[in-house]
Formats: sequence, C-alpha cells, structure tokens
Amino acid sequence: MSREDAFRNLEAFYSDLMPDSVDAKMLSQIRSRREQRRQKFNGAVAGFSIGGAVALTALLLAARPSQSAEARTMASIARLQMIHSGLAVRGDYPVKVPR
Amino acid sequence: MQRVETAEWTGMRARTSEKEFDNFFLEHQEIVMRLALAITRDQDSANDAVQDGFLKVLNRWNRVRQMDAPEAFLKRIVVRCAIAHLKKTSLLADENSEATCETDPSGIAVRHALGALTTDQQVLLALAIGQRWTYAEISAALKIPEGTVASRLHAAKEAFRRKWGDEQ
Repeated sequence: MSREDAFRNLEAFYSDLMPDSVDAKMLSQIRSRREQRRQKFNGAVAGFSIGGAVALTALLLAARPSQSAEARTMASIARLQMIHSGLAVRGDYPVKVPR
Repeated sequence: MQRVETAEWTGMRARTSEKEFDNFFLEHQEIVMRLALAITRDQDSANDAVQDGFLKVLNRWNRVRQMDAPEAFLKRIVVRCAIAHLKKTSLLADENSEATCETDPSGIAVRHALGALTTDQQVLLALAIGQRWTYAEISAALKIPEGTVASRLHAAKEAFRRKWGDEQ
C-alpha cells in the first residue's frame, strides 16, 4: 500500500465518523452539574464558623505577604465565608489588624 | 423598593445570561461533538468531553461571552477535555483488542493503526486531517509553537503510514 492509500483511508475514516445527535438532556445535565458544584462550594465555605473565620482572617492578615501560599489561600477562604455570611462585602478587607 | 428593583434587575440579567448560554450551546454543540469524536473515536467519550467542555465554559460564562471569539475558546477547551478522555480510555482498553462497531475493513485497519500511535500523534492527525485545522489553530489549542506542530505532524503521518503498512 502506498503512502497516498494510507492517507486516503485516513481521510475517509474521519469523514465517515458521524456523531450521534447530541443528547437532548445534555444541557440540563450541564446545568445540574454546575448547581451541584456551586452547592458543594457553598457548603464548604459555610462550614467555617464565623468566629473562626474572623480569628483566622485576623491572624493571617497580620502576616507579611511572604506567608506561604497555603496560608494566603486559607485567608481567602475565610474572607469568602464572611462575604457569604454578609459580614463583609466583596473587595473589602473584613478585618483591620493594628500593627 | 429599590432593593426589590435591584433584585428584579439581577434576576433578569441572570435569565438573559442563561438564555445566551443556551443559544451558544445549541449553536455549537454539533461542531464540537464532531471535534471530540475525531479525537476520541468513541461516541461515549466524545459525549463526556463535550459535556465537560460546556461545563467549563458555563463556569466562566460572564468572561467567555465578552470574548471576541468564544467559539474558539470552546473548541480549545473541548480539545483538552477530549484528550483527557482519550488518555483515560487508552489506559483502560487496548483498541487493538477492543470490539468496535466498525464493519468496514479499511475502517478497522485505520482504527488499529491509530490506536498504535501515541496520544499526541492521534490528536494531531485528528485535528490536521480529521478537522482540517491550520497549524496556527492547532498551535493555539495545544499551546505548542507552529514549527513544533509541523514537525510532530510529519512524524505522526510517518508513524501512521508505517502502522498502516503493518496492518495490510
């Protein structure tokens, strides 16, 4: 078999590859998966107690920016929790720590 | 009163955004299904890849809807999801021994030859020959330079030709 035959067959293979029609439920499944993901995230965020979040945020905000990535992530989660519970608004630092 | 109006406006904006996403989905579902199928060569994997791709787009919809070419972004995401599914199915099953619904002998031979290539080579052939993408499009989707696309594609074609020869 020549090189041309090989590629002719390859092209024919791809052009014959016809997808079934898209599942009519796919859009609702996508929305449902997104909702599950959102609820999971909210659940994780709400899992922190407010007092704990305030204390943790205060502790972590007092730290220098050279803090570990993990510590900064924890602070972000605490901030999100406060936004979620209405104690702070997005963009605000919820706690000011005196130097 | 103002609070109620704000809530109504927010709800209306969310509904408009949902509608926009629905239209985007309906408009592009078929083209990305073809794309995913060319890469995975399996209907179920293609379905999963398309669903994963649209979910990723939906999670970033507010940003994606403002892009100049949201469909290009969707295609890149679907390519990556399809590659992930192709790798997963390659680990689970050996295509040479797998029973496919293919009845055409040359189709079976092509499947076997493709299955014997590396994942990268399969993806390059699917995009360049199956989807007729340009080097620039492949380069953007796979995040590799165009020169690398050209050399890897050449190697993939040669590898396919050799495997095809073995199948005959």
